[in-house]
Amino acid sequence: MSTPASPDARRYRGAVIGAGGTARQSHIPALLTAAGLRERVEIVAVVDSAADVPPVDGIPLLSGREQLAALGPVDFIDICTPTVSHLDLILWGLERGYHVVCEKPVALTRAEADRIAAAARVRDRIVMPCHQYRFNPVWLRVKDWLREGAIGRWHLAELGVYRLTADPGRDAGGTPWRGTSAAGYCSITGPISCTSCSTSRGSRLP
Amino acid sequence: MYQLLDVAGIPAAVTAWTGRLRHRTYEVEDTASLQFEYPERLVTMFFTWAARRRENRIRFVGERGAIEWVGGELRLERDGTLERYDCSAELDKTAYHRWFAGLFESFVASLDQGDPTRAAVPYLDDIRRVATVVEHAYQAAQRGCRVAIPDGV
Repeated sequence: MSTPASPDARRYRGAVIGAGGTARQSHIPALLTAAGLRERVEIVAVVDSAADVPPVDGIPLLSGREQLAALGPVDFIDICTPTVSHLDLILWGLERGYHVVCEKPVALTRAEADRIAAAARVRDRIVMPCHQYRFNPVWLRVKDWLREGAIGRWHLAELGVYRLTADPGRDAGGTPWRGTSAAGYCSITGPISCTSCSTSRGSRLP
Repeated sequence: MYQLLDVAGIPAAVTAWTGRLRHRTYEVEDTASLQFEYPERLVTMFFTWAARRRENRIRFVGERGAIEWVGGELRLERDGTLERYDCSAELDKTAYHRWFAGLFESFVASLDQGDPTRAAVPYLDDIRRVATVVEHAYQAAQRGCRVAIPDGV
């Protein structure tokens, strides 16, 4: 069940899907502690089906996404799970009338992006990619310099991200989840997320 | 990827290589080298899980100077003068949640508009732009050749 879309709603109820590293280190702290969010957002649940998930800041922990329906109206879900699950979870959330925030990459192909867009339009809902580097003050300074012409017209750019290993995830040992095809992740998009540490480490698919 | 698209737009063509250099047990590549072509601009991106140490590097070169972001230091060289900025505190892991706070504040502002379909347009465009470039990059890597990205795809 979702709350009616209304500009009058002053506090939004959301659920975090996936209780891995990015949820615990970045998403949930931001949602719970940021001055501009505390009064505007209530996290009603964290959903993760793994058997050994530790509690998260007193937030109810659900083992399956269908349990969300029992919590009353929910406005949005915040998806922090491995990439392979993104499309399914987004479409599931939209089908139930939830707005969606989703870790990157949200879609790996134009066909996936088009499915998401079509579903969002049909349900009149928002799907927002978690492109948080746009709020990184250092990157913002770089962008400002480029826009202001601090170096004149630029003609060459080099970006490099060097890591020793893929993110090991919560279940240390063996092949890191990012190194598996089950993660649905490859290096073209993977290390980009590693840069911002916005991985959903080891979360099981709810 | 979205950062590049923010400052340069969708490239005209991409060349890519992907492979496993060190982590043989991975089911996917551990390294990707990408080259994006623009009219009068070239962008290279290199991502690897096979390095000897953790490092990030960004460099923009322009007609009057250069911007370099190496680790926790940001450097601006313009007209022969070098400025250095220590950004390590802003880039520490303990600061990450502040970037996410900005993101979620933007999300709440979009919800407040009360017109989700309209508010979603830039986000959905953003998702598709990234997917377009990623899809063409993988095509380039698989084919081993330069792949053009047509306008409006």
